[in-house]
Formats: sequence, structure tokens, C-alpha cells
Amino acid sequence: MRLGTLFLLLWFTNGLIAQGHQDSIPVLEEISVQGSFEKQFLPGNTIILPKIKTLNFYNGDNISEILRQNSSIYFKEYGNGMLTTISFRGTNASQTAVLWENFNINSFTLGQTDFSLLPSQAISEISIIPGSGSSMGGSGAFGGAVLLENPLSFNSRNKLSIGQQIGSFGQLNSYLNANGSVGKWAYDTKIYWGKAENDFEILQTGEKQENASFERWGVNQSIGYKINNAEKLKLAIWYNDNFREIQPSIGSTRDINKQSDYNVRTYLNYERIGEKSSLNIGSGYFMDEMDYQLDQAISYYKVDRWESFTDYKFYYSSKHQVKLSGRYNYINAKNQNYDGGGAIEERYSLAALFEGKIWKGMDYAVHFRQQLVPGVNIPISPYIGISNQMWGTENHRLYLKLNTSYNYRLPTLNDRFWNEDGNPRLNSETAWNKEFSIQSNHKWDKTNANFSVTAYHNEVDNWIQWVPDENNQWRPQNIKQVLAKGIETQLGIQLPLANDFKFETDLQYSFTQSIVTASENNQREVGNQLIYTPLHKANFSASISWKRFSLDTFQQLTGRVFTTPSNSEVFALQPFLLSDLGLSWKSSNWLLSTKVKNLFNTEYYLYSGYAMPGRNYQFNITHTFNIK
Amino acid sequence: MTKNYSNLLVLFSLLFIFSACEDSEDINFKTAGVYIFHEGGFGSNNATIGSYDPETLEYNPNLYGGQNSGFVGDVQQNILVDNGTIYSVLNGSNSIEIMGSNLKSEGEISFPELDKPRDIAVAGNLAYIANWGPYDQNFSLFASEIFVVDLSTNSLIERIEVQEYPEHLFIKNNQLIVSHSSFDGSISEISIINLNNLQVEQTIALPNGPQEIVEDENGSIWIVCTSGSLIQLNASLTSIENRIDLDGEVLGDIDVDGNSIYFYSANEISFLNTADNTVSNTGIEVEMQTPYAFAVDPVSGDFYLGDALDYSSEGLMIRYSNEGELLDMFPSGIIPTQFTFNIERDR
Repeated sequence: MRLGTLFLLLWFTNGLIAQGHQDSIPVLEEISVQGSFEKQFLPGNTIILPKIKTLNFYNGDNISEILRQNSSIYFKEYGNGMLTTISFRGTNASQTAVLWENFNINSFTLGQTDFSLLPSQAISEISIIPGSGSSMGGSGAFGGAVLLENPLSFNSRNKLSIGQQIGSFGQLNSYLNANGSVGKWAYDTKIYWGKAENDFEILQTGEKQENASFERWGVNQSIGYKINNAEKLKLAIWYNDNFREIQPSIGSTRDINKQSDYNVRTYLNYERIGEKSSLNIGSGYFMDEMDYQLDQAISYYKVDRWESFTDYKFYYSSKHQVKLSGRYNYINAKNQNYDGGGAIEERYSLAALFEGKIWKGMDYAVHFRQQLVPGVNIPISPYIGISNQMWGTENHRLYLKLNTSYNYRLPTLNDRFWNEDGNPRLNSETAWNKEFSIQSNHKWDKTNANFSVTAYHNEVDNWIQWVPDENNQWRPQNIKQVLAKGIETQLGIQLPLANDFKFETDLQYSFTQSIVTASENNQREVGNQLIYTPLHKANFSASISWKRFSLDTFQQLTGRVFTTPSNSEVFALQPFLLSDLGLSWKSSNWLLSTKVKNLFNTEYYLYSGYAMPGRNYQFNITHTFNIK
Repeated sequence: MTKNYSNLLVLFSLLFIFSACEDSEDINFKTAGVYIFHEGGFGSNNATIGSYDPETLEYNPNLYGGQNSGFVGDVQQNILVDNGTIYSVLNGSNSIEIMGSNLKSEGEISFPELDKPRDIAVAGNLAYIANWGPYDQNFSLFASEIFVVDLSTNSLIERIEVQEYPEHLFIKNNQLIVSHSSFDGSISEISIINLNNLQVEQTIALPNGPQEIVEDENGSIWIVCTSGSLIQLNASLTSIENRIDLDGEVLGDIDVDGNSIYFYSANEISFLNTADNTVSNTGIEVEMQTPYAFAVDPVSGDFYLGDALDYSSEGLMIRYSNEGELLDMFPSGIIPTQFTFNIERDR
């Protein structure tokens, strides 16, 4: 068996035993690892793989729905289907890296990802990597990284799925997914289209939401070619097209306010796996274009990016390997607000990642990464992580994981080049993260249970914020220190009640305290919780399945969030419980489901002033053709 | 940041008439409460009105929310108090909220043409609204208007095309005075509109940044220009009577008390004596990060200042006595923009 497959096997086996966050085992077939993020280099992290039930339930939604149901992540949403930004472990939206395969896809102008542009139908696998560190995720992985993957399989059957969803306030969603392999070729095709009138009732006023419609479509195509048993090529192209009217804040009648986003993401990957070494070379082109219109006014930017990497990996002893990595990124941004209408930046990085086994059950990894960007001061980014099986019998296992990393985040292009306001002399932000977790997995007869608890401590320094200077000009400055610490717990139980009758449940609770410890701008926020960061968050899901039926419920309890740095109660968003309920019927070819979202018609806000829908309904039908 | 004390004048005169029937000789007034108006965060729909008691120093940060529900709206740009009715101009919500003096909502002016309103003036049953109108390709204005609204139906009845960036309004002798001020200073003037025929009769060029318009105790009209001038118009509103240049930039929010026009410039509260047009310092220095609001309590003479800080935190309300003693300071709401004073008879 080839090494890559072996590692994956090991990883999945380990993941299966150690994570417990997944409820079905990925089929252990010969999966191509090309371009993929290698999680075995992060033994000290608790990687979360969203449960299949959650993936199915939120299939027609953006991936933010899946992420928030499976982790401590909070999303700020400027209305339903509108700009959606992440808050992970008490950090801001630019401090989480979003990776597609091996490439960071955060906007290079704003430094963050709008999750409303990431429909889950475009992606095959989602992983949440809390606190992964910049040595692996690159710039800005302070809170963690969200990893999106579209792997290929060279010996899978050909399958075609077609689905249609219809829902309240004019929601329509169509999708097609074809994947499989033919001879030396493998492919995965995802095509999606969706729209919504989005004229839901605003619960606060009883009026209909106006001017909030959206429509999107996209294609994500991967093609693999097996040159021989050792060498493979993969080409991937993802195009996403999103149009929306900008939902106005409650009570506002502003109308002509629109935004179009276009994203092209493509790469070519070559991989050669030898006995003791492997080589992975990839090169990609990425384009993000945004066109915003208010009345007749237009705001436009386009960023073209070429990014290439080479990873060379070899075993220098039977149990230890090293990965040497080099990466180059050429960024060309057009933005009318930049001096001269644009900016060009080149980024380089070098990394050495060591990984291995000290003894049976004891894995370690040590990384070093240095990124170089002319004009920016960037520290070296190291990581040390270990995973140790403290105790283990066939049915009961206990793991201890530890890691610490020193991370960086580059200033964004806006920070550096925005007219005379941008500040090219900014330093990168830095963060020192420490965490440990305990995981245990148990099996009694046919009952499976898993439990994990993680505690972390993350000190962020040189935090960049735009503040008015003495001339009332808004400028970015390295002005703040934040200490984020917290606890994340998870408990999962799978229990067969009788023949054909199964129960499973998952409970997560997180405590996130993110305190401003120093600020040159505003002394009044020192000692206060970061805005839009709930101190408490809990998720609960339960499923009962009987034969082909499944009744699923998902609950999210989000604590109060402050919206002002002074932590004023007046402007705080109140805690809320969101409940979704669904019933589905599945055969080998058909999936029928009906869902009620926001079952209790709760009035809630994810961003101050923007309405979210009350109770609403979705119906879904999917047919799968198995082609020989 | 316009202030209008016409309700106070009515109150004063009523009390005066009332008092004439009584035996008591000593009539005193006191400031029973101060409303502090806040813009709220841009796009956050969280404008608030707080209520402050200058005697007990108690503060209710969200009286509007208590009397109604939720917040006033998005970007509370300007307030007018007229005959006990409060008009709140909501620049982001594109509407005017109408409230009683207890802040209970009494109605709303909202029609599709209302687009980024800036200020309101009321005469009888008619309201005049400064409307920015839509942006052109470069986020500049090109179709600003004054809307005439019938207050019995809150509907638009007339439209007057005016120079872009109408900012503040003031009615004098059946003429509407409009200050126009673009951010880059390319538009700095006032228009005078005859309210009998709704025609623009005069435009007068001013130094950069014309903002608030006030009337002094002699009936003269003054306009503050943030680049550092106080401009007095002649009685017929056809030309500049006097131009007082200050040493530096001045906050676009000024206030009249007796024969003085108070203003905030160079971290200091100063005043213009309208009897002899001399400028003096009060000697009261107030350091603010983002000076945003300024007013004088018409009874006590206390100074009220609003510091917007970084526009996202709760800004500070700062109160000084007219002798220069710091009486109070606290975070009052997001971007404090205006103060109004509720005057009561004190026996």
C-alpha cells in the first residue's frame, strides 16, 4: 500500500477513534490526497468533522450553518443570506483562515471570508481546525482554520445525484453532483443554483422584509488523472456567482443597494509518492471580484492572485518524517480606493514540518514557518503538538493532546494601500496560543460514547484596528492586545434502541472569554469582552431513526453578545435559542425531507439592527442514479 | 444639531400669563430634564434618546426604548422640538420619527422620495425637510431637494430643487434658510427660500463648512462655518452683515444664551458677545477625542458636550458649570449628537 493512502488510513482510523465527532466512517477507498491539507501534522489539535446528519440537514444552506452547529463558532450575519463573518474562539473575522484544499481563500482586500458566498453544495468535506496555528494554516489562523475539500477517488463507482429544494419566502435550490472514476480518470462535478425572494416577516415590526433577495449559482469541477501508480494530476475549477440586494436595517426603506460577487478558484496539482518520499507541486489562479452599487454609486474591486507551492516530504527514519514547503503568492489588486487604483504584493514562505511517533500512542509534530512580505515585519511561526494515548483497552480509550504555537496575521491590502489612509508600515498581528484537550471514547455493547474537553489560552498582540486619528482620518493601527481563553466540551452518544431503531445525540458547550487587555485608542474597552463574542454557546442535536425514517432536531443556544466596546447592556443582543426540526426518508436512490427552521418563531439578531426570519419551512427531494 | 427653543418660548409665555394671575412675585425656572440624542452606529439601527436629571445626576440611557420598543432608528441625524412635538430626522432609516415630549411615538414621516434626510423645520402645519437624495457614481450628490410635507397627513406636497448637500434649516420671516456643506468644501453656501412661492431667492457663498443656523436675542441670523467663522446675515437675509473669523476650526454646533453665542473651538468653550461682536474665552478647557455635540442649558447656563470617541463605542456626555466646574461625565450612547432641555417652573 502506498504511503499516502496508509497515512490517510491511519488518520481516518485515528480520527474515528479519537474524534468521535463523525458518525459515519468515510469509506476507506483509495483516496487521492492531492493538494489536501495534511492533518496528521497536527496531532495536538482536536479536529472537528461535522456530523453527516448535520451536513445532510443543512445541505441547501451556506457552510456557516454547518460550522456553527458543530463548534463554538459564532457568525455575524447582516441579515438573512447577507454578509456573514466568522468569530472563532474570541477572535475577529480576519483571524480565522479559510482554506480550500491547500490555498487560503480569505478575501485579500478585507482579510476575511464572507460565508454567504460558500454554499455547502460546492464542497465535499468540511473540517474545523480550532487553533491550528499559522505554521500550517498560513496568515491569520488565530482562532483556527476552516478547511474545505473536494477529494477525488480513482476507484469509485459513478454516481449522479440531482436534488431540488423549495422553501418559505421564495427559496429555491437545485443541485447536481456527479462523481466517480473511469479508467485512469476520476472526476467530481458539483453544480448548484439557488435563489430566495427573502421577503420574510420581520418579527419586530410585523412588516415584510424588502430588498433582500439573492440569487447564486456555481460549478465546482475536479478532474484527476493517474499517470501511474506513483504519479497523479489533479485539476480543479470552482466558479461562484452571487447576486444580492443588500438587506437594509430594520425600519429602513433604502432600496437601490446591490452587490455582485464573482469568484474563480482553480489549481493544477502534481503528486508523486515514492517509497520514502513524496513530492507535491501545485499552482493556482484565484480571482475575487466585487461590484457594489448604492443608488448610482459603484464600489468595485478585483483581486487576481497566482499562488504556487512545492512540498517535499520524506521519512528520515521509520517513524519520523519531515515536510519541506515553499510557497509563492503574487497578488494584483484593482481597487479605485487604492493609491494609483491598485496594488501589487508578493509573498513568500518557507516551512519545515516534522512529524512522527515517539512511542506507540505518542505522536508529535514540530513546525517552523517564515513568511516574507516586503515592508511587513513577520515573526517566525513555530508549532509544537503532541497526542498521547494515556489509556486504552479495546472499548475504552483516553487521549491527551497538547499544542502551542506562535502565529501571525498579515495586514490586509486595504490596511496597507487604502488611499492616504492605509498604513504600509503596519506590523503583522501576532498570537501565542496554548491548548490542551482530553478525549475519551467508549463502547459498551452497541452503545458508543465520546467525550472531549479542550482548554485554550490565546494572547493576541499588535491587533490591527481602523480608528480615527487626530485629523479624524480613519487609519489602521497596531493598537490592541486581546486575551482569548476558553473551554470547549463535547459529548456524543450513539445508542441502538432496538432493531431498526437508533438514537444518537450530541451536545456541545463552549465558554469563550475574550478580553481586551490593552488599547491605545480606547481605555474604556480594556477589561471588556470583545464585541460579537458570546461568553456562552451550546449546541444540541438529537436524531431518532427507524428503518428509513429519521427525525432530527438541532438546537443552538447563543448567549448575549455585546455590540459596543464599552459592553453596554442597552445595545447588547439578547440570548436566544434556535430550534430546527426535520423528518426525512431515505432509500438507496431517493431522499425526501421536510424541515421546520426556527421552530419556535424566535426573534433573534446576529448583527445589531438586521432582521432574521422566524419560523420557515423547506422541502427537499434528491434522486441518485448509480451508473455502472 | 439644530436646537429650537420655540416650545420653551411658548412655555415661558404661558407661565408668564399664568403667573400674572397669581400673587406670587418670584417666578423661577429649572431644568427638569435633559434629553440626550444619539446617532447610533451607522447601519446598526440603534439610535437612542437618553434622559438625564441634572439635579440627581440620574441617567436613563434608553428612555425612547422604554416608552416605545426597540430603538429610534438608524442614524439620528437631527432633532427639532416644536410646540412640544419632537421630530427626529433618521438619515439611515430614511424617515422622520414624531414623538411627544415624553418620547412616546406619535407618527412617522416616510415616503419613497425621502432619501438620506438631514434636517427638518416646521411652520404651522407644514414641515420642510432637507433631503440629500441619491448618490452619483462617485458617491457625490446630484439631486438634493427640500421637501414640503403636510403634517396633517405626513405626505409630500411640494419639492424644491436646491444646491447639493443641504445640511441645516431655519425659518425666519417666512423664509427658509438652508446651509449647504459638502465634505470636500467645494460647496459652502446658504440658500434663502421664499416660503410664499417656494422659490430660491438668494444664494450666498460662505467660508468652508457652514452648519448650524441660530437666531440671537436681537433677531439676527448667525451661521457657524466649521473652518472657523461665525457669519451674521443682514436683516433682509440678502447678504453677509458680519464675518467673525476665529483662531481655528470650530464645532458646527453652537448655542445662544442671552447676548452670547457659545461655541467650542480649540478645546475651549468661547463665546461671541452679540452686542459688540467681540469674542472671549470662558477659560473652560475640555479635551475631547471626537467633539460632536454642544449646548448650553438655558436656565442654569451649564455646558453640555458630546464626545463621539471612535464612533462605535458609547460616546461621552460631559457637563460643566458655567464657572468651569466639571459636574458630570459618563458614557451616554453611541455618538451623542444633540441635547434638549425640559424647562419647568420651579417654586
